[in-house]
Amino acid sequence: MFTPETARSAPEYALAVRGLTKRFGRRVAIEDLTLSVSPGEICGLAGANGGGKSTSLRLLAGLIAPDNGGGLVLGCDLLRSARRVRHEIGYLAQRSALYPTLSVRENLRFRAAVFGSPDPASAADLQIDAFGLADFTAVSVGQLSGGWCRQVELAATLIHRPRVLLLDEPTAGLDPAARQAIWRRLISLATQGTAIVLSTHDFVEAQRCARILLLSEGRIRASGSPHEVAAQFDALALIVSGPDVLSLADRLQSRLVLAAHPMGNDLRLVVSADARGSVEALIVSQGCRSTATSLTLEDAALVVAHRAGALL
Amino acid sequence: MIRASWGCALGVARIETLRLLVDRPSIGLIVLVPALQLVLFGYAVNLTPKNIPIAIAPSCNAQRDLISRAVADAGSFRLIPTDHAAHPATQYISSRRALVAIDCSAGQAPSLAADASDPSAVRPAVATLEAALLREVLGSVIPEAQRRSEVLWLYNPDARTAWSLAPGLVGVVVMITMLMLGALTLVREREQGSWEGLLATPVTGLDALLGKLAPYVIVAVVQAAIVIALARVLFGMPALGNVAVLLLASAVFALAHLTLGFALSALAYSQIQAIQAAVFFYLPSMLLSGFMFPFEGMPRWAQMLGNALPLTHFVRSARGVLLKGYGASEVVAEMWPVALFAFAAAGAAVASYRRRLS
Repeated sequence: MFTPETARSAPEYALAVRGLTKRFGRRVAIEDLTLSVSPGEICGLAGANGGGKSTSLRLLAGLIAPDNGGGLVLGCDLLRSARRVRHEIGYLAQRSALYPTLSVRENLRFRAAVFGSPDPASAADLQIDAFGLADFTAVSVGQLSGGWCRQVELAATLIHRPRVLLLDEPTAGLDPAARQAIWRRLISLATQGTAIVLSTHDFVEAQRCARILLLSEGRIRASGSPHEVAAQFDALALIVSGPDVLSLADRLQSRLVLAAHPMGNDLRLVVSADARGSVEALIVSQGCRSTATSLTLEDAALVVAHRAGALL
Repeated sequence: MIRASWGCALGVARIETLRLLVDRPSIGLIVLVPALQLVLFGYAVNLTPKNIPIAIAPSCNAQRDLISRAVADAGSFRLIPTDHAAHPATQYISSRRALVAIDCSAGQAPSLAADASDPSAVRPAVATLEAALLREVLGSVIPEAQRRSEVLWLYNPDARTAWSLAPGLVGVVVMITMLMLGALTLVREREQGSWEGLLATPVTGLDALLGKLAPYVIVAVVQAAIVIALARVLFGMPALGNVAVLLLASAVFALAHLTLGFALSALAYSQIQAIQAAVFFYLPSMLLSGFMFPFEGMPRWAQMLGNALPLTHFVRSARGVLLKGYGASEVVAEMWPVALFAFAAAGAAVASYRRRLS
């Protein structure tokens, strides 16, 4: 069992928390979050909106105090040394935390100054070079594209060389090329030993993490590698092909089918393992055929959402 | 051609109404602000001041009873106790113990001196007193040829309105600007999204308070200097006291309103809420400070409330420095409650800095 004491004697974890719980009024934002992340590991908090991902990251960053639980971040107690934690980590908020009317250089210089850099101007210039921002040095952040803006935010987040990085939806709203640029940077940081925890509701993104926690309604529903998480659910996916598969989806009963969505001319169904026989019989009776395949991470999230009654 | 669609307009009106109805603090202020104004204008503001402190110098001892009766007949004054030392009447005014003082010389009519730095506070009452003195005193003991009272108007002898208002205006301009700037600091960042990023840095509430407000304090001092300089150039307003001390006082005064604005900003959900809360504070400040209406005319409860407001002390300090020649000691004696206010507001601001993220 993890305790702050064991964490001190187990420096292999950059971040280790146990039982973190946060309520806002009667609403449980996150309950019993237990997590340890090693240096160089990329851990994802995946789940639907409102699942507790952002609150978890804010707790880990020492931005809000938990109602229960505790832990260590780089050896600093999350409850007693929240300011120290904030000094040691890099936190990227979901919304842009940059000043839109100020230039890229001024924003970076400000971040360097508040993190105690002896020479903020040089620190800003170093990041400008490292992130290829030389063409935008004097440009107001508000005038940058979404992808470049996120790159500047990441540059600002990394300006004090944090060994733990907490990223709230770092690639949300970005095109594939911009996402790839961010991921290249994260992989490079991980290989240098930075522990990374990121949140995402995009399960393609989540599959890039070595380990994920699947969150729903403030609780951890599954954890492990993306493959392990998907395998934890007694459900499977069926790829259905044949005539008029879309109307077939409409006719299938929701108690049998947990989720259905078109894939080109085919139909992808997520069904409970115990409903497989009934669904396949229905498919055949409609003149269609199906092939079983394992669940993806997104399928697993849909199973969780369906069973929590959150799927419309 | 642009045509209005009633359906669209009603849809917009409905959604705007719903947004207003769920904004409870705004609704509270919409009701409270007019109620507060009505109460203050109705009960606190009085254009015919009562209880104006008046001193009868020891030189008038021979006629004290008659003069006291005249003062009582005038009905607007409160006699302050005087000592036996032979002070000239003006000393009671310069020492801020009285706004009006009466002096006597043998065989002469009693002479009046009055603090005219805020003419509206004393002029009507002094006119009534002159009539009462003529009736009660001069008619009985002074030969007819000498029945003529003279009033020595101190500090603003020509009763220039600009001289009376400009010193207070320094405070009003600084108060409104700083309160608004302070009130928008954090809430603007929260609406833009940059606040969470700031919270994620080692910056503490005190760091943020000092860092965000320091530039504005300099702005306030420059603003005060500009108003004073313009008043001197445009209206020939004197600057008899230590203007540097007044500018320092304006920095403390600005800090009080910036920290209050910062606290409001930390608590407000939106910029409009923060602005409404700021207005809720500065309206009574303007009404109760003695800037617009005579402080002496207000009832005791309103004076106590006024004394708790920074603008009241700054208006007195500014009039004192510019018109009466106040130095550092008088300004410090007047401004210490403002420093206390700033300190308390800063405590509230720092305490509420992280509150809204939850």
